[in-house]
Amino acid sequence: MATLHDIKRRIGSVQSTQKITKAMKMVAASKLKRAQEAITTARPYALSMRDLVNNVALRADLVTHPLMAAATPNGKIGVVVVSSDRGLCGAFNSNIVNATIEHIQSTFPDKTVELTLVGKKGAELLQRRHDHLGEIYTDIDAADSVHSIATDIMGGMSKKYVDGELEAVYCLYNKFNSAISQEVTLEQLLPFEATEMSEGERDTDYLYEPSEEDLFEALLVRHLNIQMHRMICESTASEHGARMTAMESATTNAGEMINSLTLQYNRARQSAITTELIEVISGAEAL
Amino acid sequence: MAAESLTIELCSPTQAPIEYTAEEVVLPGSEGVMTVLPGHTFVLTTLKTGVLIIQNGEEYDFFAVHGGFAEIAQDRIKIIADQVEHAENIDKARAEAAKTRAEESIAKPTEGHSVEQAEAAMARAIARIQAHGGEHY
Repeated sequence: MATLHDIKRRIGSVQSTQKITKAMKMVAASKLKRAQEAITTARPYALSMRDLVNNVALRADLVTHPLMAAATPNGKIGVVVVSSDRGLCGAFNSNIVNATIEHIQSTFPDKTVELTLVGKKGAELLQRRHDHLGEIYTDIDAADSVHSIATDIMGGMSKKYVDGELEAVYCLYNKFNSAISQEVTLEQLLPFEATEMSEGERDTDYLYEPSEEDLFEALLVRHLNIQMHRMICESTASEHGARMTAMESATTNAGEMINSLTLQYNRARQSAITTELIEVISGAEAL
Repeated sequence: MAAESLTIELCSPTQAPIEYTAEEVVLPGSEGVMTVLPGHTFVLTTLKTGVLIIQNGEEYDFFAVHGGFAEIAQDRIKIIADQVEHAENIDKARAEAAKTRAEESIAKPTEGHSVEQAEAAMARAIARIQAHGGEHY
């Protein structure tokens, strides 16, 4: 049986773990708040951008643009997987890694999938499970690096697409629904597909400054960067949400453990007292 | 028959969309500065770095805009800026310091800082200073 001293030491260690998880929960909560603000402002912007690109694409019959035209099928596609740099956020990273493997097997069974990885944790896990890896981007936490990473990724992907190395580009990321709910989402980035809109809107003729082609080129590139940016922001917000929930439950679990250990400690103490009493009494009787 | 006022929707990646009502808007279009009045024809334009002025009666709002797009459809203007700063939030001393720095790098280009970068920085600084001072074109 564990001695009193052992139990006490275990209680102490669980208590200090609880302190850490509690602190991490607080940190995650405040980071979540900031990330949530970033995503709620970035979303309407990304949406307006998409509408605008969409409208121009439909009106202008620019199907000849290299980023919109269907690429010659060569069985190779690119997937950008967004995970996090840090662990201790529950099933966040393993979810995205499992989803990646599943998509490779079921959504793209006959294709060679080249993975571009954002985030250290996902990269570590996927390096062991997948052979075709492209670039790996880490240190996404720094505020101003998100934009440059997004631009970098999309620049590289667009080039590969135009050069005919990849026939399509997708992005797999954790979509932020709320602090406790994230959803692994797969979105197609390239080729860019315009969605239909109502007749009335289509009839209006616009003047373009500068020329239609230049404007569309600028819009499309910008749009792709913004989408990538948005996805990374979504993933960051999801990560903090996941971490907050994970740390919350870790704190509760530690509390429960402390309770049961305290009970065990009290019982052990009680039985030690009883044993001692019996010894004293039987000693006195023997006299 | 055109309406009497314009509705402007202004958004950027770091700012939630804001709506303004105005009588007149001045935009820094990439092909030149343009003034938009109610009933303007349909135009799509890219924006360069410059000052955006939203005028409603006696009230003027000045913004420094750094690139983006504007969609003008008669009485609605949608401005999707890469970055936008309201004049009130501009630190003039900082903008002037940036301008001096940019001038220096243009005069004496060093490794790692191209003249184009310096010129872009200069344009941003000038737009900030102008927006802050509420200068008209």
